[in-house]
Amino acid sequence: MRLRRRGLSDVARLSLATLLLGAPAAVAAQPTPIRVTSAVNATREDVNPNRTYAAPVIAVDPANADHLVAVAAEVRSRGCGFLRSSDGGRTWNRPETSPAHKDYPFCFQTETGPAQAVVAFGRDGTVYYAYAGWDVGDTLSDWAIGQGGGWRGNVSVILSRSTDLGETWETTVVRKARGLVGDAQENNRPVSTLAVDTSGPQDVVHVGWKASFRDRNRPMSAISRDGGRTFSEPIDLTGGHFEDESVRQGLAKAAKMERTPAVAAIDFSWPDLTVDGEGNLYAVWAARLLRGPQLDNSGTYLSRSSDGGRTFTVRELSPLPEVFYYPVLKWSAQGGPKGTLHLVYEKEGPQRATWVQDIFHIRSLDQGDTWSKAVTLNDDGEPAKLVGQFHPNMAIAPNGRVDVAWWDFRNDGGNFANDVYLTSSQDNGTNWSPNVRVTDRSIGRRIGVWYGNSDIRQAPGMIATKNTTVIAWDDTRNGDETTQSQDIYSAVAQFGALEPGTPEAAQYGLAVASGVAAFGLLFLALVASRKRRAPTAPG
Amino acid sequence: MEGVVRRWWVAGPAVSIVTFAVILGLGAPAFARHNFSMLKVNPEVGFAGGEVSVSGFSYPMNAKVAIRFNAVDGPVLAELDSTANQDIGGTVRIPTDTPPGRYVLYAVQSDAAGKPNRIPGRGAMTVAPRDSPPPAVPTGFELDSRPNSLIRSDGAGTGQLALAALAAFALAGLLGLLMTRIVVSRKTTDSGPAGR
Repeated sequence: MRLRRRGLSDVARLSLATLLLGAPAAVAAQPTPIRVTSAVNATREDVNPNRTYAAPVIAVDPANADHLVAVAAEVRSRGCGFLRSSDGGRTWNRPETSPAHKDYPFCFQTETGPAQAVVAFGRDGTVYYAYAGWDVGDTLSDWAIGQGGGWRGNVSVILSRSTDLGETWETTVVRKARGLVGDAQENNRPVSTLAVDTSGPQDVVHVGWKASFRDRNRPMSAISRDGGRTFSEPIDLTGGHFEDESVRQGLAKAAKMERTPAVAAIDFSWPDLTVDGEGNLYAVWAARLLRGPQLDNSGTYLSRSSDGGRTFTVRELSPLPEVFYYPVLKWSAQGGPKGTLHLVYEKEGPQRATWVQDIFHIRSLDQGDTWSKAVTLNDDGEPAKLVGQFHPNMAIAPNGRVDVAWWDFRNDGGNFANDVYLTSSQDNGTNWSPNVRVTDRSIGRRIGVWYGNSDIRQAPGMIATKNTTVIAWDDTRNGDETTQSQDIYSAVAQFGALEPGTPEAAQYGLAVASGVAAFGLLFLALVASRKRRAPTAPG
Repeated sequence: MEGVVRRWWVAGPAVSIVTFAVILGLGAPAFARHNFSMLKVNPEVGFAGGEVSVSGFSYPMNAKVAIRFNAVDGPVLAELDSTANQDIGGTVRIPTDTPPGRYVLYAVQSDAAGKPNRIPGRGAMTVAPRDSPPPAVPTGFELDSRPNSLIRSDGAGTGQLALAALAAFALAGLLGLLMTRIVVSRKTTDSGPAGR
């Protein structure tokens, strides 16, 4: 009996040991080098040799990292198309339906820097798509802001919304400029930014653009608290900051002007918006007194609103003559109770040669009140070669990884060709990875519209998921001097292995069930064999 | 039929060029900030000691532009004056001791102290041997080899899953034995007095 007990106890110990050994071990995540896939042609369905796609902007569904959508503006048709992917950006297709409002079919504009249209996800897979909408009649105004392409005349702000990944769309006119005459005319372009706050009971949608009037211009936004169905009146993002004469005096002094100008004399750029976890709205934009090439002589400013855009506090980020070109602003939940504001931009590098630009990053842990020292992100390392980096973009992954991509001429061997490069920070912008080439071949810019006096160029589009970043760019590899074709290409930068097809928990569940079932079968077999061997009671 | 095809061959590119010209016209008012200086070499294949034409646009008006060989600070092949239209044009001679290969000409603009003060124009060309075809040299448009697919985790390893199954088996065994013992001891308790 003792022996039997000891035997049972041994079995118990053995079983326990087996149990402990077999318990699933937590596998520590290993840092993986950034791995970039081959590029795919996102606009391959369009075989028209005249196609000229530009300015991709992409967004990812926060609830499903495989669902991506993209703006694909087609310059020659002046329309802002739509692409979608259901496999995390490995393949793309174009739904039949256009996101454009039927009365505002065109979006194309000739501004260098901002997007042609912008796209973002809200909750439940809702896609928001905003653009500067116009039709031919809107360009017949006598208001010579510029010429052609919707640059002249009344341009409205349009928001489209889809809950079925672009199969169908509902549209809202955010700001209607059509029909305005005389001094009332307004030109709302570019529509440069879209930010969706999903923290409340309904999506709060912010659309940002530059509004030009006959006598002034302003960075503007409008807010929707009902998921994009209705919008507020336009909100001036400068928040009256320049009404203060001392502020204008500072601007005039920096611009070496003798007289303090009126507010209307200030030239503003388009804004970039972001919202933090508490629903506070931030906007970055530029202001200048001396006109000239785009954004030159500009100071950069940050507006913050904690009351849904009713009031703003404004801070100067780059006092003249330090110019932050093409700033991009994003908020991350990392870094402390207020999260972190990340800002990237281009600026002259150490050579101080015109348009030999570098890419810089700064961050703020206190909602924009103070900022870190600027860090150069491009590591081409030989400033004497006079190579430029331009048009940065940034994406924040759900796990806080910060990714930045830009156009880079470091590989140009005299073809006027550039590449997209990427860097990434796993520690909220303190340290950055070595630069990684994203494009799988350099993109020739002697053809297409990126340059060649067309200057339809913007930052590469990008989104970040937990383990990947998808980057999209306009690419001339299928064009030549006759067709000048431009396509949208994309590639995926991978930071870690994707989750398995069958979730790990399910795999362990199946293994445990198998173990239990195996024991059950063995037990039944034993019982059956015992019963068979048991002597039959005498009758 | 052949005539129709031929007309399309002519008309297709013509329509493309006209359309593109229209687009360029539409794009013209863009307030471009990066007025990149462009440089083109013609012909793109030359010989050591031979001459090639260079032309370019988007240079500061009435400025001196040095055409340098194969580096921003390489030998000066020519010094050109930009026009009021911000164009440059001229002829340069390739150094006589240049081995065959791919080279870049730089159009460099400098300040009064001789320091480059603006992003240079760059133009590529191939220097070929005189008596044989041009060498195959990288053009800068080569395709990098990249993976087509993403790495997906297999999840738990086979060994770990086998251990989990074994552990489950053992746990079930323990529970089974425990239950058996309880049942047996209850039966023994129940049947004990009656048997006595």
